[in-house]
Amino acid sequence: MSESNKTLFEQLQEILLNEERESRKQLKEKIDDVKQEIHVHKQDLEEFKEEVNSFQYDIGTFKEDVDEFQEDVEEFKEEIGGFKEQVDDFRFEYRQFQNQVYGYQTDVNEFKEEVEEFKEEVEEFQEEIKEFKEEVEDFKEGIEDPNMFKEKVQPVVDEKIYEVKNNFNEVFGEEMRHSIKLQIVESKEDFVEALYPLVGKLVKSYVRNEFEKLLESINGRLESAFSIRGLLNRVKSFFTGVRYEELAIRNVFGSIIEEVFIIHRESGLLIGNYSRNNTADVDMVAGMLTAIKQFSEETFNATPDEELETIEYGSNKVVIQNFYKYYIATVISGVIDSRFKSRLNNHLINFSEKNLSKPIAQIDSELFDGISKKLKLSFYEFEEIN
Amino acid sequence: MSSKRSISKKVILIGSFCVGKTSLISSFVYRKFPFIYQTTLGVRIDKKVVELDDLNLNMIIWDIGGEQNQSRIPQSYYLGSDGVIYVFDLTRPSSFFNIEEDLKYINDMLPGVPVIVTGNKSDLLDEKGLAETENILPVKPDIYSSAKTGKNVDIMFDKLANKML
Repeated sequence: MSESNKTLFEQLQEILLNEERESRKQLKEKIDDVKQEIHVHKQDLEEFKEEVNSFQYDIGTFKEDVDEFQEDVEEFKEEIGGFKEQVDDFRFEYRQFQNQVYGYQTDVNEFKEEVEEFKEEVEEFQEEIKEFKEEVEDFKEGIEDPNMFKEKVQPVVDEKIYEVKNNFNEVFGEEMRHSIKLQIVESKEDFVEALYPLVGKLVKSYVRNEFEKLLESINGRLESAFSIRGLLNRVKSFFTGVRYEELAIRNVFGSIIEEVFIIHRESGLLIGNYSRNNTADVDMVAGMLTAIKQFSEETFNATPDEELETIEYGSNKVVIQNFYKYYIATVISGVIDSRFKSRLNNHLINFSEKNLSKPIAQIDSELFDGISKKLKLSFYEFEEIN
Repeated sequence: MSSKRSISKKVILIGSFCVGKTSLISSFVYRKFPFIYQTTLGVRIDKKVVELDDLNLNMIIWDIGGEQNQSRIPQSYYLGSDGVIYVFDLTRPSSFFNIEEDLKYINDMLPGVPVIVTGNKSDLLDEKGLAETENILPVKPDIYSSAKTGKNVDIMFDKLANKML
């Protein structure tokens, strides 16, 4: 069959076959392309995988670095803490050092002032030495001529002899006393033997003299029995029951209230005071009286009812009246009989009831001045009555 | 001075013997340091008026003879105290080994009363010596004083004065 005789069907078939071939060829090419691409992607994937692995490794390393860094930070923190303590110690030491330096500075300044004063004194002393040297030179010249020397020295010697005669005790008293003392110690027995009869006579004479004075005084009082005072005493004796002679003797040796202290029992602080003479620091006396009282009561294991009531020294007596929170110490000179003591006790109890019944919260000047003023008035009254 | 209100307070100084209690008082009251040591027998009383802003404080100071142990002191000396200064010698360890026991005893005797603990004779130690002593002290003192140089003596009494008011 010729070309021309080919049927349409065959022609179509041929066309289709060609097209199919063509499209298969194209498809194959496309498949090859895709395969090629897949191969490329596969390679990329492998590379990516490698990169991911490498990245994972880096992250691991980084984590280790971070952990190490954290440890370093902790260590650093601890170091800072220690350093802070050191700084605090250093600050404290520095302050102490500053105080010391301040102390040294003050010492140095004082020392400087002293040195300046000393310098001035040395200069004055040098000046004096210079003058003295000149005087010595003049004096030397005077000594070399015997007549001149005698003329100069004689009046001075005379004057000195006169001075020594008049002021022997002042000039040689101390040395003499010391020498006599030494001699007495060394030859005690000789001295006692020599002085014994003499001392006896002296004591006898003194006692006799004092008795004479006492007798004179009592006689005087008895002689004035009909004087106004004497009559008053007789009336007083009649009403009080005290013997007239006792009243007369009391007039000779009257009791005198020298001082009164109202003292807080535990602390020894002074609550009030009346003083006739203002002789000593009353706060210190109050403290010392309390110490003596507490010491004697505690040392001798006194029961609460046994308390120190009297202290005697010389011709004075300290009479102690004890109350619950305080005590009153009255210093009295002269003769104290039981009647006087009883009156004093009553007076103190009355005073206490009137003026010291409230609890004492604090001992201050207001309380002290108020109580002392009342105490003074009260003892003026007491002395007038007695 | 006299126009101000004044308050009286009892202060006691205690501590072992020869720690410088009398010298501290002498330095504070008389501005003198006694170079010859004389032991205090029993008790000695001194007085000092401390001027404060609005009042005068009349300090009656009881210098109590030193004992190794505070319980040997007559208890009545503690009575009515408004303030205590406990003194020990920085150079003599036997004077501070009983501090804790002594402070407890004082607190039992005088509850609520202010106590100042002072390490005295600081002039006998240099900085290093003081630091070494600090390490063995059972209690940290409130103050380091020297009766000889007068260092911190006034400060110590002022501190107690303020605590007592």
